Amino acid sequence: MDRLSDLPAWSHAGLLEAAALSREDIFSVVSLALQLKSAETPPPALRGRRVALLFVEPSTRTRLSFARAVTALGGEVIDFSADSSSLKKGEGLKNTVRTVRGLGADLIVVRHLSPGAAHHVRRVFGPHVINAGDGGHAHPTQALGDMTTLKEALGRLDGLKVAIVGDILHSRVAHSDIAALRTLGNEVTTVGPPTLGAETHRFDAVLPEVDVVMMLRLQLERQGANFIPSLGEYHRLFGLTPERLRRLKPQARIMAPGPVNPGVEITEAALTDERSLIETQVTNGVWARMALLILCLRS
Amino acid sequence: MPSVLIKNAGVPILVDGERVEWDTKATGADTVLDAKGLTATPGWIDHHCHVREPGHEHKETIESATAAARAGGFTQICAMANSGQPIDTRPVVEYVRRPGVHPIGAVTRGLKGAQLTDMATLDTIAFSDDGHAVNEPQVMRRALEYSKMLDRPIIDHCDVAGDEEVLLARDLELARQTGGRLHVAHVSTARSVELIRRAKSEGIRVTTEVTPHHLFFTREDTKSFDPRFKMNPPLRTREDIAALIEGLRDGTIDAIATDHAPHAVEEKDREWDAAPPGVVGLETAVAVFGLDLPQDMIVRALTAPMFGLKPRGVTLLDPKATWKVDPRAFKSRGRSTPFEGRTIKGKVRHVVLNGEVHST
Repeated sequence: MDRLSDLPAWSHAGLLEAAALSREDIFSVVSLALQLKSAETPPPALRGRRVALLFVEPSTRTRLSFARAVTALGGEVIDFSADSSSLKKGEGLKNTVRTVRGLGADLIVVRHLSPGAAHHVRRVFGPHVINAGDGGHAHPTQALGDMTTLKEALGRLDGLKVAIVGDILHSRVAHSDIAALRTLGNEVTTVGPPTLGAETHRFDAVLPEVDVVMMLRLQLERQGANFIPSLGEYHRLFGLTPERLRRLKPQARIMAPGPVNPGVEITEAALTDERSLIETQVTNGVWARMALLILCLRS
Repeated sequence: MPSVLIKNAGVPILVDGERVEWDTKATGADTVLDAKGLTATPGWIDHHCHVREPGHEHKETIESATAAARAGGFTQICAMANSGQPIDTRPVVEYVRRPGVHPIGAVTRGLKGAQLTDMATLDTIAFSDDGHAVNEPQVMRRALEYSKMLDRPIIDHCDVAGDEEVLLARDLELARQTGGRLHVAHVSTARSVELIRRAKSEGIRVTTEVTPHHLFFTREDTKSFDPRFKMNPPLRTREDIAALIEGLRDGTIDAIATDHAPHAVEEKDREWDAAPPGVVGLETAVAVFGLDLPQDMIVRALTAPMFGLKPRGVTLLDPKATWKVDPRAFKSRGRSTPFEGRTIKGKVRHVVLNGEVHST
């Protein structure tokens, strides 16, 4: 793919939340991502551009996914990870951003434990900021990757019945996926214990009706804080067990943002089920991030 | 299953296995019971009973508790979780559960107040750490929230060193905020009744119970330092008794529950400080018929449809008979009761359950 002149209309210089995107925006990213995926080689759309990865909250998957996306497009990565950065020396986020700007970054990708951290970076740096996850608040690029996966697997992105299962309260992935799915006109039901913000606990009633079931990772610390009494009970009530797989429609799909906890929210049977899109989600995360970077830096 | 026809106690009643037919047209049964002079009511339910087994069989066993229950007019008891081995895992639930005995699961493991039990797995009619208050507000909050999934109440033992109202106020507010179900065990003060009355009027999902001993005895009775008058919450004042009775009258208090808490004789027969709190109550509950309340109100409080339970069987009592309470005649292993030596008007004669007559 060497021509980028047919890019769709796009007005965002960066992305902080999935809720900021319209239906058309999501379609734009998804279709560009799938175009990039089907091309032999990606275009050098980011040649001469520098993208800083400011990952204050440690991350392997998302950071590598972004790094891969930038370099595949011919761009240069400036990698700030919390371990080696001056943040450890107490520089503070604002001054780190100024340093990054001084190093000639064109765009910053931020991951941070504090909700709203990306919003803060934007106030200091300017509009070319992408939120790669801010505390429990949002993870919009994960949602874009997930929408890409769904479009590729099902051929459509509206009128779907989706169940999102697990720790809705604390999951930034859930927040962004819910926002994106609802913007696109899909029916989303959150499932889980009342203590974790779900609208229903009746997983077995909801499951046979859905086209997509998304299993959220349960953070093991939730037991210590009594959001759930034990992993065992959580698994019995909300785990995607072989028994539940039998009740899921044959044409339905299984998704999960990584990493997964086998034996807790998900089982080996679900991971290897032919309806599982979990591995594809990882791949499509890169393509969606590539598409987003191209669109945001086009100018 | 066999059947029993009860005659001469108002309307004729047929107890055919589990089914009770009031004002029956049946003319015969395997057993015919002449209940002349007796009052027949649906079988009483005790929503708060400590059976002690498994673990503390020297105080009581499930068998002796069941026998005491029947002698006292109860056809169903709810077994509190704080037996020697607490009811905090599924196998213990299964062990305790038997006809007429409904286990209540613990709210927290080991009743330690720290980690919630697997409530969905326990699947009991209610949950309680009774004996202990759930001290941490966050733990109580999560318990009320989590249990919404099962639509079962959390029964709170609101008593910290005799202070009932502070914890009660806290738990009513938590129930309001979470939308969970709260049941207040052994309410004992006028102020508590008032708090619950107000909470109910605000739509908070709360129910409560009162013990017979809190309706008859006061702090004055403890001046002898006799541990037969030592229990949690402690005995209160005449004004509190008046408020409790008024609470039963206006429905603020949903049930009379005994808080039957047996201990071995050697344990209670000590100086006040050394004796554990708790008195038996199954075999003296009938004393409540002597209260200044209409009989049907008392029967309603003894058969309250709480925790998803419905009355089973029939209880037959002689409302006029008087008897002197002698704990040595109890079916319970516990002997410590403030009613000892008192004369009670009203005596349970039989309970009829599953087509069998159990006579006292």
